Amino acid sequence: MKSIVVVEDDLAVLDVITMMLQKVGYQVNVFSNGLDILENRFAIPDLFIIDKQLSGVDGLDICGYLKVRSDTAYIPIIVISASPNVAILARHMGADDFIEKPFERQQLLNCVSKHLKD
Amino acid sequence: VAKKKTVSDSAEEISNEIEQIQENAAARGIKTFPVVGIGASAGGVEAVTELIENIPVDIGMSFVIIQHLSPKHESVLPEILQKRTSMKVHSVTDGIHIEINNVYVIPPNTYMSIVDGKLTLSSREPVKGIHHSIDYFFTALASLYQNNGIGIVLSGIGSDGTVGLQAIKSEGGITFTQDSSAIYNGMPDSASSSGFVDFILSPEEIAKELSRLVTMPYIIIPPEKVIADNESELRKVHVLLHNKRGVDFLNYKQTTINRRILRRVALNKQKDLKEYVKYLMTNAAEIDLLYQDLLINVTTFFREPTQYDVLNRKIFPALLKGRKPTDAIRIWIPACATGEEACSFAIALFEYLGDDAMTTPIQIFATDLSEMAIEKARAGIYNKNSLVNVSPQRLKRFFVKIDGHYQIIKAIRDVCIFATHNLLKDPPFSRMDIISCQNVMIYLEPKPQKKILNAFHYALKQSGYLMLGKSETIGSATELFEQINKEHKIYTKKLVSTNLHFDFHSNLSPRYSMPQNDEISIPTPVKQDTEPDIEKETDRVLLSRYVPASVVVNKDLQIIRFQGATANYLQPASGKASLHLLKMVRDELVFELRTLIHRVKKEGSAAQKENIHLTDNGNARTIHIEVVPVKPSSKDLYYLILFKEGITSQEIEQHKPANTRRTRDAKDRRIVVLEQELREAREHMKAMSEEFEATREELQSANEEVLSSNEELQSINEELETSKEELQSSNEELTTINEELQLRNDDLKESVAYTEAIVHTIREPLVVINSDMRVRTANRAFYSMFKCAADEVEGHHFFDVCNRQFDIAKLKDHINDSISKNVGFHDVEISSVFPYTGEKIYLFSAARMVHEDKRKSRLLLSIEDITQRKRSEETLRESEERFRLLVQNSSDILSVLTEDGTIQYISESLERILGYTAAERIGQNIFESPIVHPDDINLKRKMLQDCKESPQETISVEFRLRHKDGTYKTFEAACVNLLDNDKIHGIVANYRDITTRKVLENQKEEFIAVASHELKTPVTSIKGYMELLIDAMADSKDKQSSELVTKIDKQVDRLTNLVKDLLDVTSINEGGLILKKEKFVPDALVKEIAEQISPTASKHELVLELASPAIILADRGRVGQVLSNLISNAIKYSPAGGKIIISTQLDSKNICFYVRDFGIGLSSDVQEKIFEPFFRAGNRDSATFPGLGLGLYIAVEIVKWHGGKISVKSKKGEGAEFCFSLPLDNK
Repeated sequence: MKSIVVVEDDLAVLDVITMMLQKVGYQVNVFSNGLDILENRFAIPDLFIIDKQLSGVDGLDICGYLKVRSDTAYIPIIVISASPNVAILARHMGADDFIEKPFERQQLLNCVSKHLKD
Repeated sequence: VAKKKTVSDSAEEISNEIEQIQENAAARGIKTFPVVGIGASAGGVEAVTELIENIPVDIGMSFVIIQHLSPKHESVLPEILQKRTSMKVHSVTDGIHIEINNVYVIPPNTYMSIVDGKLTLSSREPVKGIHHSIDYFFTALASLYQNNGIGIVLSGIGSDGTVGLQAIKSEGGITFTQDSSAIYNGMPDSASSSGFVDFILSPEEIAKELSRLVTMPYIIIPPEKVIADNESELRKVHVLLHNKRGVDFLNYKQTTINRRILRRVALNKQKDLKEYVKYLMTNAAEIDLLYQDLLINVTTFFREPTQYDVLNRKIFPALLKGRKPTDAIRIWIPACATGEEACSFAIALFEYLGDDAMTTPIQIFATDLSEMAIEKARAGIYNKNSLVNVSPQRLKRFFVKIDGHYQIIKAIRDVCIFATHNLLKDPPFSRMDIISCQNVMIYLEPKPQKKILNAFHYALKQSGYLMLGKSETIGSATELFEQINKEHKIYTKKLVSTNLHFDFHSNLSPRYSMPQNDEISIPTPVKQDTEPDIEKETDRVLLSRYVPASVVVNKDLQIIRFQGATANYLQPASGKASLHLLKMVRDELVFELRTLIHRVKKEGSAAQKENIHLTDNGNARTIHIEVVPVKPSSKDLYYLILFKEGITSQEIEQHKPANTRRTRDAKDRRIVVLEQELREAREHMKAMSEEFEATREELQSANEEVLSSNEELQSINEELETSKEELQSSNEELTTINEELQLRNDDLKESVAYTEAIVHTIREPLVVINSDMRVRTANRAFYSMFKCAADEVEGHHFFDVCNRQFDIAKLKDHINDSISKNVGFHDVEISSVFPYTGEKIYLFSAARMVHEDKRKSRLLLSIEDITQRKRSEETLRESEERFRLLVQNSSDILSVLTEDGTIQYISESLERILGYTAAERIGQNIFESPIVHPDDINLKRKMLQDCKESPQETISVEFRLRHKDGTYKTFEAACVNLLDNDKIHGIVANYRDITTRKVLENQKEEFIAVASHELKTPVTSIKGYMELLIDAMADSKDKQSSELVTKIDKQVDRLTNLVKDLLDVTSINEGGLILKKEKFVPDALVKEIAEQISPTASKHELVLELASPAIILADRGRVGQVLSNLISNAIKYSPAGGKIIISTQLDSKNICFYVRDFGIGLSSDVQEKIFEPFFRAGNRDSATFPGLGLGLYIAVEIVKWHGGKISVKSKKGEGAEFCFSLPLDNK
């Protein structure tokens, strides 16, 4: 079973993503604060889903952090944001994909499965 | 006789000749058009004016006016004339060129002449009497212009112009005088009585005649050409002349004669020569006129002065040498014209003879063909012009002044015998000492020349002299004459016998006979006339050959006619020349003749005396004299005196031896008788001589008295004459001045009327005040404004009138000041409450009307009511102030720029908004000293450029301007091109400070961005939950709930899209639409989008027409967004359903996407606006078509960001087709 770490400060969105992913059989570990990641309080998953706009640490900073850590650098990261302009910034910071809010379930699942296949 | 030429030959020659003439004329600077000289004096201004105003502008002549003008006054004649004609009128300056259709007026106190097409002026010396400036000019005109010269003499006193017209006519020009319409008839009458005037008409008729003449061939075609074309017609004229007048003009030089004939054609308004011949045949008077014209010959006294020197030095001394005091000097002047030459000879002879003149018998026979000329010669009155060569001494001695002319003294007239005589036809005179025949030969053909020379040879005494004109010779007659003076053509008679046959009665020679086939026949009356002529001629021939020598005398014993060879019986007595019988007859016969005539007179029947003894050179002979009374009419009584030759002394000698005795007896008887007779005669003589002596003494003393009184009278007369002329000339000048004054007076009247009309109609009240403050006049405006009548005002004190309303201290001061200092004042403003008119503000102005007498000076006061104006000005000022304040306090800056960006005006609000004073910026150039942000300067340039290029549009631009404190503020500028506006002449720019608005807008956009971002998050979770719920519901059996959930999901989608659009717009406004370009196949995208939308549009059929396998580089998602927006719109705006056609097409550079629907369509005004943000089609009905109206705006922006274009084609009710293109080579 593949494990996915989701970092999202909006609890409702976090809840929905969790439900969607769990329903198709992924193991989901959720964080509502980026600090937990930076302080290494997480188990290394198969995929990260990180919201850009987090309270406290910015999602893109986390993305950058993960991509320089040798143990997490190879793990695909999907950045989600309400702003479509974030897409390019996200790629700069090493994100593997970008999903604009609001998204449909299928869109999310397609994206996740695409990165987990490899 | 000139050899006959063929017509074509001579035509060619003539045309060459014409060219030659024109070239010569051109070379001398003469244009070939007629020049009309107009002479006028007193009363002439009116006549000249009338003449000139009736001349068409383009008549084709030019006019030169010679008006006698006062030397002391500037003439206004040119101005007067200019008012009445469109031709240009010049006051002549020296050397001015004569141009066609122009009028030239002589300036005062000058003589004008014409030389080489130029008018020249010379100042004239003051002389007593009248200046003959008209004659002076006309003479010059005549010699230069010849047949193109026209002379007109209009009203005036005196005789100026007469000589001038003579000169013009004799050179072939045409002459006019004014008829009885002339105010003063002196000049026209003098001219017309000279016989040199062709037309006597009123000025208006003259103008008409001139317009007609200018079209006549005589004026426009050189005569030489006409002559060549009309030879046969000319011959007919000659025949007619010969028949009527007996003169054959074919003997004369044809060029001169023909030119004069053609002139008559023009004068008689005949179309051509043919018409003229017809006219001649029916009009005998015209033949006479033509005849007179042909005989024109102008001579002057002492024409060749040097010739008279030769006479004095050589000829006269030769003549007088060996002459008996009683022998007459006999001189013959053939073709004497009006007698000038004859008189010149007489004067020369008188001078030569000195005191002997009175006792030397002189006979000067002066003959001419023209009766008119002879009549004039007999009168012996000449004008000044022909006296140019007469020295003042001669003038004084030999002339008497009469009516401004000069008459030759009686002594001279007495020795000159004038008679008509045809040189070619009538027998010549005889025993002449001198024959002077000048300028006759040149008019004659060679054959008649020879004939005349023969006659002269006969007429001269053996020692006689022949004098010819300067350019004449005796030709081939060298056997008759010998030249003794080459220069002056003086010849002596050669002693040869000539078998002279006087063929002086020749009829028409064959060459003048009429062509047989000619349709014109000589009218019968002319023929009948010739019959008696022949009879008469025959009689004359017979008489001259067979009748004894005889003379006819009238009852006063003046010889009227000589017949036959009377020379043997007559011998002119010395002393005064006389044709008195008893003075002409030989002394021996006087007594017998007197007795005989006395007897015949008494008895009334013929009587004769036989055997009167005469001794000639020692040869005695006897003659018989018979006196027969002749009574041709009851009134007249003549005596024919016949001289019959008796026997000569030789005959007596011959008879002597035979009859000596008988003769002796007879002789004795005869002696007794004779002695008796002698005694009686002696007694008779003695008584008579005593009686005669007594009478003579009485007469002598009476004569003495008469002579002295005559001399006195003469000198008085001369003085009177001079004064008269002086008076006349001043009178002329006065009349001219008077006429000019009259015209000026008319002008003045006109301007007075004009001024009065202005004064009366002008709206400003005017009042004229005398220096005693009394009102003289006022205009209507005054009376109506101040509600008073003329009689209440005029003559009253100004401050008293109109209820003393002008009695205002300030006005009083000004008026008094003005009168005392003699100056006007201007615009004195006085406001007061006036009766009737209420509170008013008046402007008073005053002008002094200066009079020579200071007390009579007046003051013109004008009153202007400026109440209304003042109020308007006040209102205007207030309104200006209001606008100024508005602009000053406006939150906008208003400026006017020139085309190159210099500030012409900038509102004072500038200082408040940007810290600069208006004065600081006005005159600055916005580019040379900019306050615009350096990054924005090109925006501003573009603004100005756009504004200049599209004058109708308002151009709006945003840029930043620097505050004086260095900070930048954002402005929105709107500018309008008013360069063509008369009042502005510039580009009006309005700057509005939008810094605050900009901040607010930014905040708003930020807010929208945040808000939409924040909205998206809950939408995401709602959407997620929804999907999860649909999953959950799908398994349940609660269908209704399941449908409801699906509906909620759709609404969530809509909400999602709206939020997305808002976010897009925000991005666009921030300039931040970011494209994620990738390569893709557009057709695949179209299919994908159609498939996505298709399920939501159950009523519509999406038809795809795809033909493009191309691959483009673009933002796939964004292009899809555009496509789905267009398709959604197509569905939305075709509510009735139907086809929606989506197609792609490729061209060389672009791929085009088309979305076509068949729905409600768009009106054309809407089409322009649909691409703007927040616009929604359908106006008020738009409720039926939901949406924020951002979709198309976003689509447009996406296409633009890709470098493509979007457009729409539509008609209301017929659907719409949207099209957007994307470039293929987009990298």
